[in-house]
Amino acid sequence: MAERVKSRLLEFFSARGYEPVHNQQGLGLPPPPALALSDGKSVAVVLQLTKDELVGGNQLLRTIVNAAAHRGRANRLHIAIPKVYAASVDGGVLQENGIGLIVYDEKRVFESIPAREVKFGGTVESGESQELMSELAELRAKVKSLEGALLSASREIRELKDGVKELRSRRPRRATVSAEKSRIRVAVEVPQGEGEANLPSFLRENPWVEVLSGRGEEE
Amino acid sequence: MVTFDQAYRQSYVFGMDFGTSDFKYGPMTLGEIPEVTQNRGYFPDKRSIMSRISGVTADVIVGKDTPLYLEAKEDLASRLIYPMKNGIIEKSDDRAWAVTRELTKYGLMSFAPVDPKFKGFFVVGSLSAIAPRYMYEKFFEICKDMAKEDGLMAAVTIIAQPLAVAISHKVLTCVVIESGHGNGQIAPISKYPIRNALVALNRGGADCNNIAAEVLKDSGYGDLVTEEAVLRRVKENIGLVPRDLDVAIAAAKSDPDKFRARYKVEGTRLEIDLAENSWMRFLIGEYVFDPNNEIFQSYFSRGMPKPRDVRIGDVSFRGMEDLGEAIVDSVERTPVELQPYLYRQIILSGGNFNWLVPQEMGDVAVDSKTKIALLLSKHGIEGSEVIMNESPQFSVWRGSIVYGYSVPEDYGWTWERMEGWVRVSG
Repeated sequence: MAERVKSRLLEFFSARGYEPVHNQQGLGLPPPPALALSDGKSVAVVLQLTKDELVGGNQLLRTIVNAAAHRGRANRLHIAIPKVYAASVDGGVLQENGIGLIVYDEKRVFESIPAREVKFGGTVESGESQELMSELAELRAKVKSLEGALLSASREIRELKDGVKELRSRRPRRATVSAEKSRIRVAVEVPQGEGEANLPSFLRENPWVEVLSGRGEEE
Repeated sequence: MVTFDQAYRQSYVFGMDFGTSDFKYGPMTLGEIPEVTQNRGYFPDKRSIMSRISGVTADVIVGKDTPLYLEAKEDLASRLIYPMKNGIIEKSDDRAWAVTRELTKYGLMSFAPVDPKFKGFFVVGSLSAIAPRYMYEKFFEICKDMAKEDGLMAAVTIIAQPLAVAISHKVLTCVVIESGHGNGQIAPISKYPIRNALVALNRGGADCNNIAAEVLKDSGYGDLVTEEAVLRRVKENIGLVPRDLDVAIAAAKSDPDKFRARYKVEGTRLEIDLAENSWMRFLIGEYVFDPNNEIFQSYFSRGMPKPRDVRIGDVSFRGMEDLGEAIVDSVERTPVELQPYLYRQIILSGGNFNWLVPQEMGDVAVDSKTKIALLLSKHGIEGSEVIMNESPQFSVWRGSIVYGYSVPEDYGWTWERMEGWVRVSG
């Protein structure tokens, strides 16, 4: 494809939000000189027919069949021809196959027959990136949400544990009623866990606290 | 009767340790370290012009500002009163009791809260293990009077100092050995102090000073022996505890340079050098643990006071018993089944157990823990874990706080067990 024509076709598609796809052959698209373009959502392939291809009927047919073979890789297929040969192309065949026709002359490039968009399962570089990025973003959002849920759960577990400790620390270690005297004993709380951490070192884990807190019970 | 929750007691348990030299006091909220002031009071001459000018109205002055009120030096002996004599206040010593009363008030006033919910402190006073019953009664009486006056006390109890030491060390069953300035006590503890197994020794830091004075006299420093502070420093800086006294003396005599005892009194030009008498440094340490070596007889015959067996109140004090024998004596008054548990842990408390052990003399000089273990071994007791009081100055106060925090407030005082609370207000 002559560089000038290629440049004009790129300009035409660029105005519609398309950019060239790199490594098009590696993605299963027709190799250059075919043009592969993407607007991030879909892929268009443009095949330019030369004068010889247009003059020989079989060659035109082979080009169209080749183009049709790439339908599974591109959302839109276009054939680009000079305006002077437009009359020799059977537009009905192209329309039937959903292949678009782009005609150009010295002044302008225009779409004579719009290409039919075809959904396909494969991806190309830019589309694949978009999709991957989109999926990645979704996954990140899910991970973030899970992290948040995990943190929240951890916090709740910690609070519950603290609550249990607190309740345990408040639990009287000794009987609260002296049966013989039928009087209410004021139980000594033996602090544990964080409650105990606030006490001076000589009180922490001191077995005497429990021993002394039982004084007087044997009466 | 007003009752108090645990949070209240956590804020308002108040410990008071009446030591022979210092009074340690403060509420539990102080954390690890109490306030300290000297256990003494000054009786100013209220007729003096200086007292009138400075507006002194109190009969007795205690606390950290006491030095500011001191007057003529010659009056100090009669006006500056240290109430505790070896842990005991004489029943009829009114001035000593006045000091104790004033110190108790001073301690409480220092922390008097402004909290409207405050209904008085739970005060735990700690007294010597040999304190007679009248000291308990007198202290309760003081507290009841004070509670009426200023409402700073809700309840009061008294704990024996060795029990407080065991509590602060978190040990339920042990023997606590307290060696003070004038005497020592061996107190077995097994959740309770075993009072009938208490052994008191009429030997302490003061006797150690006596032998240090003899050593100084023999070495040409007789002019220094009248100064108690110098004697104490000499004892602390020169005295050593021998593994075996005879062996240590022989070693020191055969190599005088290695064992040479020199001490320069800080801030003075005075340097003490025992020179060829440096072997005598072992006498100073040995005397605390065992004064029965023949060598001490020569000092007794020259007039050095021999620790005598005495009786103070209900307690008999032994003079010459070695510490190992005294421990065995004490423990053997307890049930046989309990004895192995008591021997298992022995806590040494008091300044008389702090001795230097120079590295180069480690073969003949030992620390107090080793010496006690050796003495016990001599009496057939092996495998005891001897530990030093981790914080000799504060452990009694700490034990008092644990005691006050833990003993239920509705457990009334019982003379039979010598424990419980005396409600003084509410």
